[in-house]
Amino acid sequence: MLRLILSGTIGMLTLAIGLITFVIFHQRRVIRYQLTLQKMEEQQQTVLLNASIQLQEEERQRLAADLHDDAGPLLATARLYLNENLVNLEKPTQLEHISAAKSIIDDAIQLIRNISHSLMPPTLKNFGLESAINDLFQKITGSGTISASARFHDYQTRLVLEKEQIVFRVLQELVNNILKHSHASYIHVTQNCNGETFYIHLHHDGIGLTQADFEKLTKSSGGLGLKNIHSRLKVLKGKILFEKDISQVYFKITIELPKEEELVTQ
Amino acid sequence: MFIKRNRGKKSWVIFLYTISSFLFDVISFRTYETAEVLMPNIYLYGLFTIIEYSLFSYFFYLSFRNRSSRLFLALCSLIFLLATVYSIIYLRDTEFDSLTVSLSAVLILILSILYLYEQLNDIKIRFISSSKSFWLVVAFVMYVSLTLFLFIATPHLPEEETESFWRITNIANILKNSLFAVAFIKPPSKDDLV
Repeated sequence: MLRLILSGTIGMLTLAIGLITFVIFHQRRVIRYQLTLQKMEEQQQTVLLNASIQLQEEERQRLAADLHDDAGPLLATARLYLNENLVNLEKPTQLEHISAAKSIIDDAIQLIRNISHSLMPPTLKNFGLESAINDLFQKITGSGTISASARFHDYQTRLVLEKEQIVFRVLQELVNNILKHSHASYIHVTQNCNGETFYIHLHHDGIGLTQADFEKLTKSSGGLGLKNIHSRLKVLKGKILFEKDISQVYFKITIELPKEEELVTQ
Repeated sequence: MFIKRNRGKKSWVIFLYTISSFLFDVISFRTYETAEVLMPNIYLYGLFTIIEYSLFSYFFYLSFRNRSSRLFLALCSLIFLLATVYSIIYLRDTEFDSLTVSLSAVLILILSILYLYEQLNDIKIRFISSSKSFWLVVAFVMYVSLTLFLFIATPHLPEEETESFWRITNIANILKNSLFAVAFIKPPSKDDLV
């Protein structure tokens, strides 16, 4: 009996100490792992934030260049036509100068309108994502080098404007990339909903990216546009998937968004 | 300083337990001296076992976050209640109620393991050893694992050997109270303030 009690008690004590030690060490390991994950996520956030800042900076530079190089000379030329000497000139020459200045000012107005539309397409604000995409694709198809089309199957209720703007920017960036790098002959966008999820699928027949390429590029120092797509979709709690179509002929990009904030009715 | 560091309900439950444990030791010692019997009677042990299990289970009730764990605790308490009623009715004549005490020890051990398991699954980043509750549960586990075999075997021990074996419970009590002291001294973490 003595041996039984002693060995039982020692056995239980060993088990108890083992259990407590296991719990402490296991938890430490888990915490270390979680901290590493958190650090990696913070690094990724910093990369995305830097990409976003850099993109904003590039956009500002582009705007500054447009205004300085195009609008500036136009207005300066108009000013030359409308100088102080104009009153001393003969009437037909005066009319000629005023007409030339008017034409230049019209060009400047058109230029500023174009810049403004490139910043915020009025179609997007007034008529929604579907119309804005169709507008964009009409212009692309009009160039004659590539055919672009869009079909929205389930868009009776518009997304809120902020969401539409983000989705439009993402699609614009994707289309820009396709135009620049893929040598595609057509782009086709479809939209549908499944339960509480909003989907946009983009197909093209050029050289595309796979999910592995996308993840690699968003983690590398380059791929500014892709990083921006990633950070924009993160704001919407959305996902993006790059893949080769089942037919292995087309590349397919799927954007997936939760629908909970869908408010504006068309 | 003690009150400042032990504002949570859980610490007070265990503090109440230590007070009742101390009172029980004093009473059982007096009974042992006056009645000249080796062990105090079954009612005293039975009462202390009920108090001990009730306070420990209340501590676990405050510590468990999952509904399923609380349901399991309720089931354990029901089993304990049935065993207590059984021993009051059928085991009145024995000197030491091994069934209830051993069952209580096993249930506390199981609940302690469940608590540790729940803590392991908690995704919050903080060290388990920084919480008072952890040290209190370690005290339960050590106490129970040291005394369990003794409680099971006590009815089968000859009277002359019982006293010498009873020293194990004294060692278990010292260890348990030391670990309680560690828990009381530790500054409270967020989890300790229920």
